Amino acid sequence: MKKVLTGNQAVAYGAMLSDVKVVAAYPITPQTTIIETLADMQAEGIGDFDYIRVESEHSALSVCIGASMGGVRAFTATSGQGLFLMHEMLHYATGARVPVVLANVNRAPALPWNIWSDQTDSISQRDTGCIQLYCEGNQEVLDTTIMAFKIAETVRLPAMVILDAFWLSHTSEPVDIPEKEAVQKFLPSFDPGDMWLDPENPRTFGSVSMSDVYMEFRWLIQRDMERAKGVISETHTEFGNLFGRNYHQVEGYLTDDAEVVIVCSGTVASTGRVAVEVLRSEGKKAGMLKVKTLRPFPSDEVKNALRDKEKVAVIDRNFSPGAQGVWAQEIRSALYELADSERPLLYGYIAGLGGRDINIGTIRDIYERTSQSETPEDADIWVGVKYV
Amino acid sequence: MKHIDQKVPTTLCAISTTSSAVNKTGSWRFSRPVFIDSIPPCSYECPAGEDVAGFMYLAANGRFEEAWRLIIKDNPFPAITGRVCFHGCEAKCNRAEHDEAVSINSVERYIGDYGLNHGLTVNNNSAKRGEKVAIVGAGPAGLTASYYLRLWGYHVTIFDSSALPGGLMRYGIPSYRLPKEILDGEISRLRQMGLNFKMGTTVGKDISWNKIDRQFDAVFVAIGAHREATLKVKGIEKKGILNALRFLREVNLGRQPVLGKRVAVIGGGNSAIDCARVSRRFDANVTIIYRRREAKMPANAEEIKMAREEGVQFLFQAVPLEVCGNETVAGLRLQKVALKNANSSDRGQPVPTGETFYIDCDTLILAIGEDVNKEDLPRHITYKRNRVETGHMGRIGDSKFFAGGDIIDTPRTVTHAIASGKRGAVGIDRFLAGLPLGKSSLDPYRLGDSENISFSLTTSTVPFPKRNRTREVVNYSNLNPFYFDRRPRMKTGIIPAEERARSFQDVVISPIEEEVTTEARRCFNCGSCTGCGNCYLFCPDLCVKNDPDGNGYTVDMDYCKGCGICVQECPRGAIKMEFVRE
Amino acid sequence: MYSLNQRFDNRDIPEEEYMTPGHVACAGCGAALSMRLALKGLGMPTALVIPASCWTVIPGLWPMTSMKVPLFHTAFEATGATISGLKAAYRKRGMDNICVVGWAGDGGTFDIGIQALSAAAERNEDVIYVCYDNEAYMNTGIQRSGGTPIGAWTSTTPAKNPKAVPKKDIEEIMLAHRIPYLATATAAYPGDLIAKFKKARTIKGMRFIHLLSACPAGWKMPENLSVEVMRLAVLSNIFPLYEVENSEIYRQTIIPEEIVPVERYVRLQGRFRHLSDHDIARYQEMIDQRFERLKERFDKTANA
Repeated sequence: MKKVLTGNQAVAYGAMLSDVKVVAAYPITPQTTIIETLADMQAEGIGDFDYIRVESEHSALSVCIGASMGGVRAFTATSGQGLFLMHEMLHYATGARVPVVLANVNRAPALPWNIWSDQTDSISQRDTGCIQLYCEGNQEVLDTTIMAFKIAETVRLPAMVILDAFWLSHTSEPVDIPEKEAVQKFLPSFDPGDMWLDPENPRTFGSVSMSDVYMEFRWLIQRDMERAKGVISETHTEFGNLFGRNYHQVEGYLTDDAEVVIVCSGTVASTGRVAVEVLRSEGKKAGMLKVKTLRPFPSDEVKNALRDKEKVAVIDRNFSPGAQGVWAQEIRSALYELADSERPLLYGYIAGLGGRDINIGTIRDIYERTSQSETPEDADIWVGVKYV
Repeated sequence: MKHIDQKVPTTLCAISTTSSAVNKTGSWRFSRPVFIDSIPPCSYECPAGEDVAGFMYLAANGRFEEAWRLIIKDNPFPAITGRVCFHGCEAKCNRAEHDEAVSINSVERYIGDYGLNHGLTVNNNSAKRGEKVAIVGAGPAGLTASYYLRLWGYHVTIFDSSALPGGLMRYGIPSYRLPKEILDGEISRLRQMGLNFKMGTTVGKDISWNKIDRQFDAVFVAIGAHREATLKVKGIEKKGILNALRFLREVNLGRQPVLGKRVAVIGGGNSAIDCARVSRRFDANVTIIYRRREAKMPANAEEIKMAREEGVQFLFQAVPLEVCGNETVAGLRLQKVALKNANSSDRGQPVPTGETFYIDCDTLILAIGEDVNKEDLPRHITYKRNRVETGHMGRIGDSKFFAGGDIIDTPRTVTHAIASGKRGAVGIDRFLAGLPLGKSSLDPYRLGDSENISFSLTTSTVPFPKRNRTREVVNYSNLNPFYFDRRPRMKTGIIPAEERARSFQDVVISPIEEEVTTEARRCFNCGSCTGCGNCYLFCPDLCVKNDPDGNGYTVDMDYCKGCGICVQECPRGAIKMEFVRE
Repeated sequence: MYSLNQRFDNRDIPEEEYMTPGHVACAGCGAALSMRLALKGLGMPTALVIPASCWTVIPGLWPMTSMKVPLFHTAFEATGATISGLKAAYRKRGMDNICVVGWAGDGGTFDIGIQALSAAAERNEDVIYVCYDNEAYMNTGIQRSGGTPIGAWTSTTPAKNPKAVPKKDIEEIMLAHRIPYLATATAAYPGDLIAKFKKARTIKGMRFIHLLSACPAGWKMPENLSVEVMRLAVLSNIFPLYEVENSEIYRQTIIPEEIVPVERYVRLQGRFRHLSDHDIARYQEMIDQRFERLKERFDKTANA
C-alpha cells in the first residue's frame, strides 16, 4: 500500500509494523511527530504496545532498556539535545546488550539554539556501541526501521535509525507500506532467549567486573559489532528479496570512471545523485558514494569502492572541533590500508551545518575545488562560510 | 578474533549465576559470636540452684508438668519452698531494674501445687545400688538427701525421733505458712519412692550410733539444733516463760498453748515473728522486743509486714533487764540501747544507755536461737563455732558420716537445708563410688563461684540448649531491655489481716493459672537461649541458622563477618563476642 | 522454640531466604539486612532493578551473586524509568504477576534519581520503589546527599562546616504525587517491615517504601549497633514508622511506648560528634515539630 508519508510518519509505521511492545515517548523538535503518530496508532489500536510518556530522553532510553530486559521489543525516538541526554544510556544499552531501536532525527546541537539538520548529534554517539543507519529518503526510513530491529536483535546491540531534520522528518513522499504479515515473515516475534529477567532463572545482569574480565566483555561488543557488518548485508539482501527494495552499506553512483568521487550520507546523497548527473552532463567525471552505516564502519566496502580513484571529496554535515569532519576521518582511516599507488587523495568539506542547504551548487563547488586542487589542504574546507 | 589470548566469557554481558556462597566472608572477621549459657542471678542466689529461667519459660507456655520436673531436679519440695522460701532470688532479679522483680515464689508455689494436685510422681533410677544409707533426722535436709540417694538407687532408711517426718517444716513452721496437707503431700511422694521410715526412733538412744555405723555404708546426720539458748537476766526462772521452738511445736501438734493475754517475744528472727503471729491467733496482745532497728532484723521483711498488719507491736533498741512478777511473769523491765558502728554493712553493737522502762506482760517467749546439742551426736564429731565441722560435701572428717541442715554452718532456712541435703547426697554417692570429695569435684554442678549445686542448669538441656557454660552471672546491662515491655508484677492474693489473725489457714491465696502464666512471661530468662530468633533474623550475612541438632542456633563461621549485631540484639545475653586469631 | 515474652513474635517471619551468604556488604550493613528482610516480605515472583549504590557492589563481583531473584543493575538516575519499562514488558508478555521492585539509595532517590522517580510516580506505574536510605553517598565514601540530616558530618560537609539544611521530606514529596501506598520501615522492626512489603505487593500502582538503613562506616559507629541505632531513630521520632494509603490515610504502625530523646540517637554516632548540646536541643525541636505535623495526620485518620 502506497501512502504519502513524512519521514517521521515512516519511522512510526516502521516501528508499528515491527510489532514493538513498548514505546517510550518524550517530545523534541523535529522528532515529535514520530511519537505523536505512535500515540495515535496506539490509541486507535493499530499498534499493540505500551506507550510510556516519560519525563526525559534519559528515561526514554531507560524505559526501553528495562523493557528489553523484560524480553520485549522496545522503541523510542529523539533528536539533538535529547540524544545527548541519552548518551549515558546508549553506552548502557550496549553494555547490557539490549537490542533497543531508536530513531534519531538529526538536529544541530545548541548553542546557539537551532532545530535544523546537522549530524553532530548522532556522530557524537559514534563510540557508544550503537549501530548507526543513515537514511536518504522516507521509504528507506521505513524499511531501515524494520531492518534495524532484525540487525539489533541478531547481534544484541542497540541500533539507531537516522534521518535528517525537516528534509526527511517533515517532508512528505509516497512510501510503500509493507503488509504486516510480510513484515512478520521478515521479522518474527522477538525471542529474548535467556537474556531477560526471568524469575524462574534468577540471574544478576551487569555485576561489577574487575579488570581481569572487564576487557573480555568489552571485546565481545567489538566482536559482535564486527559481525554486524555481515549481518547488515545479509539483512539488506533478505529484505531486498522479500520486498524488492535493495539497500547497501556503501552504494556508488557513476563512480567507475570518476575522477572525483563525492562521499556523502543521508539526504545529501539524493542531492548528490542529481549533482553528479548535472556534472556528467557538463562532461565532468563526477561520481558519488553514499555511506549508510557509520557504525559498524564498512571500511572494506569503502576501501574497495575508492581503490584507485584519483580524488575523494567527503561532505560532512557535522564536525568534531579540533579534528573536523568525522566521515572524512573515518574514510581516511579506511583508505590508509590501501597501497600508496591505489590510495586516492582525500578532501574534506564541512557543509550544511544547522540546516544550511546543501544544493547542487554546493556540490558543484566542492567538485570544482577538488578537481582543481593538486594536493588537499591541511584542514577541511568549510563550504560557504562567510568571513573566512 | 584478533589479539585474544584468553578464553572469553560465555555470556554476552556480566551475567552472574554463581552463588556468592563461594565467597567465604568469614575471613574478614576478627572476633566471633559464641553462644553462651550464663548464670541467671536468681539461680545463682538460689541455695537449691533451681533453673528459674527454665521453669518460668515452661510455666509461661503452660507446660507445668515439665516445669515441675525441672524444679524437682534440684528441690524435692516445690510446694513447700513455694510457700516458705524467703526467695532471695527475687531480690537479685534483673527485672527489678526494668520494672519489678518477677514473683518467682508465687510461680514456684503454683508449680509445686500443680505437682501435688496432679499426683505427679518421681521414678527411681532403674540402676540399683547395693549400698545402704542411713539418714538421721527427717527434716528438710535429711529428706532431701534421702530423695536423691533413693533416686540414684540406694537403700535408704530414715530415723527420726518424732512421730511424723518433716522436722521443723512440721513442728516449727506454723500451718498458716505451710499447711500440713501440703507437707504431707510432698513427703508422701518420697514415701512412694521406697524410703524406709523409722519414725519415733531416736538414734543414740533407741539405737546406738555404733550400730548405725555398723549396719550402714554411709550415714547422713541432720538432726537439727535443739539446745535452747537462754537469757541471763533477773527473774528468768519465773513461770510463763516459753521457748520459741517448744511453743511452736506444741501449737503444730494441735495443742492449746498456755498463753496469757499480753505476750512479749524477745528476738528478731523468723521464729520470733512466727511466735508473735501464732500468739495473735490465740487472741493475745503481742509485742516483739528487738535490740536493734527494724531494718536490721534478721527476719524476712514480708513476714514483719504481715505480723504488723495482724496487730503485732514492735519495740526496737531495747534489751530486757529483769523479768518482773512474783512466781509468774507480770512484766518486763527494759533498757534502751544505742547502736554503735551501725551502718549498711554492720548491724551495729547495742550499747546500754542507762534509760530503763517497764512494760506489762504475762507471757514471755524467748526466740533467741538454738544451738546444736552435742550430746545427741556421735562422739567423734568435731565442732567449729558450735556447728558440726564438715568438708565440702558435708563429710565429717574421713568418716562415712555426712552432715547437713541446722547442725552445720549454713543459714537456718528450709531452702538452705535442702541445699545441704543435696550436697550431702552427692558426697555420699561419690564416697560410695570411691570418688574424690575435694572442692573441685563439685565444679561440674556449681554455678560459677557459688557453692550451690544445680542439676537442672548443669545437666538438663530442657528447656534451653546449654552450650559454653560461663562462670558469669548475667546482669541487667547484659540484656537488651528493648525486647521486654514494661508490665507490673503480679499481685499476690493475701487474706485480709483481721481474718488471718483469727485462723491458721494459709494466708496466701493460691494464684490461678492465668496469673501464673502471665507472671512467668515477665521472666527475662536471663542468660539462656529461648530460641526467640533475633540472632537469626538480624544477621545481615545470613549466617545464623537453626542448629540441626535442635540445640538453638549456630553461626556459620564461613560467612560471619563478626559484626556483633546478634550479640547486641540478643534479649538475654546468651551470645558474646570473642576475639580470635584464626 | 520461641519465647512468648518478647516484644516481637518472630514466628510469623517467612523462613525462605532469597539471598545467599558471601555477599560483600560491610560487617553490620543495614542495607544488606534490609534487603534480606524486604525479600522475605515480597516473596516471589519478583524482579529487582538497582541503580548505582552500595547495592551495586553488595551482591558480589561477576560471576558471583548473592541474589536468588533476577536483578538488573541500572544507571544511577534511571531506576524509575527502568522499572517502568520492565513492568511494561512483563505486562505485555502476560507476566503481570511478577512484582517489579526498584531498590535505590538516598542519592539515587532524593537527588539524581528523583526526576525519573517523580515521573514514574506521576504515571502511577505498577511498581514498588524502595529507597534504602543511609543518609549519604556511602559507596563513594560518605558524601552528603539530599537525605543527609542537618548537622551531620560527611566527607563533603566537614565537621567545621556540617550540613546546614535539613533532610528532604521525601515522604511528602512522594505523597504529593497521590500514590496509592507509601510506608516507612526499618530493619530494627522486622515484622513491621515485612508486613509493609507484603501489603505493598497486594496493591496496584506506585508504591514507595522508605527504609532507614544504618551504615556503621558512614555514621561512624560500631558495627554491632546498626539495629540499635535504627531502633533509636524510631523511638526518638526521628524516623517514625507509618504507612499512608491513597496519599491520605496516615497510620502510625509502631507507636513507641516511651519517646527517647534524640540525643541518645545522635550521641551513638561519630558523624554527629561535633554537635553541641545546644545544637542537639535545636535538632530535638525540629524533630518534635515535624512529628507534631505527622501526628495531626495520624490523629485525623484515627478520628475519622
